[in-house]
Amino acid sequence: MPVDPDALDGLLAGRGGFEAAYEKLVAAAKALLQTYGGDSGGRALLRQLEAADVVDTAFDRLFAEGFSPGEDVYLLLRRHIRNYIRTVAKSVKERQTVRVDGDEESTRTYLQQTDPLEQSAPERALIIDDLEYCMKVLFRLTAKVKDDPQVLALVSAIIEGFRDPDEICVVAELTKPQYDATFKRMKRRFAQILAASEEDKK
Amino acid sequence: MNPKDKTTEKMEAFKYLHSASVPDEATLDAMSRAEVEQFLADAGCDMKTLRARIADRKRKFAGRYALMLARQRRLAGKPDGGPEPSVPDTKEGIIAYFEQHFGANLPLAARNFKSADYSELRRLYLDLVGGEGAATDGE
Repeated sequence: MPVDPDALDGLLAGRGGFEAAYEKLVAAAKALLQTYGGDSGGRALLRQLEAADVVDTAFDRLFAEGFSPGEDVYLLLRRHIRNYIRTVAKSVKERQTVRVDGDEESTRTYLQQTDPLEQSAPERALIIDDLEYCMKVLFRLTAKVKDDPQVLALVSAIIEGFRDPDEICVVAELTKPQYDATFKRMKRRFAQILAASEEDKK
Repeated sequence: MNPKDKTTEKMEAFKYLHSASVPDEATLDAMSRAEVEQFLADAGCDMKTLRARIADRKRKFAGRYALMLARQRRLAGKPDGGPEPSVPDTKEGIIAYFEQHFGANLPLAARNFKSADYSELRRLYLDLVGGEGAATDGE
């Protein structure tokens, strides 16, 4: 039978057709990449991946492995995406330090690096790097939202440690409807700054 | 409050903002298409490029889907119930049929199908078009 591109719309009809489902899958992949991406091992590899490429890999796997009639193809694709990202995140282990001589200094270093309660040098560097990254994003956020006093007040309250919406409303001098609208704007601004900061790290 | 506490508070604030801004699967499921597109645009996706890519992938994956169905039919040993397709009796005839019906989306295009001989092309034709006579050996 000839290839019918619209057959894919039928396959993903429950999600609004192929185009809408593909966009949602890219968004899911993007969210997972932002959650699992990091600075070490396989997590650093995730920072190099494009969400749409991950979605294509999931489709390749779907058609290579096949599926049964009636299966929710969208959920199957999302599971392939999740598994792929988790596999890449775990794929590269940190280098292990192994003691090879009786030298006192290397023994001390070895014991320090293998002590489960002690942070190894790479781990310390990673935490410092993560910390710098977090601070940079927060600094960028507070600088960029100065044009929106309500978002700035909300972000400041969150940085001060407030999480409860009622408390934030008092601290940031917002009504509840204002809080909801401001929170939405804040999420968008944060997502934009996060994306820009991740691009910088590539 | 010492500086370390302040740093910890900022890390926690970052984590809170991150989890609030990056949607989980349930949140994504509940989002409308416009909201998803907004999230993608905010996350740095060029929507024009993405839409062009989606159109391209729709054609590409339709070919992969047709091939998957053909493979499943063949493995199940069941014809699709339709009448025996009339196979063009020349290599050129099959190539013309492929080009007319599949265009650039033929999954086998990447395998230089034009250089295959008539019997191979006939088998590919039956795999894709269906009907008795489809190949039963491994791919």
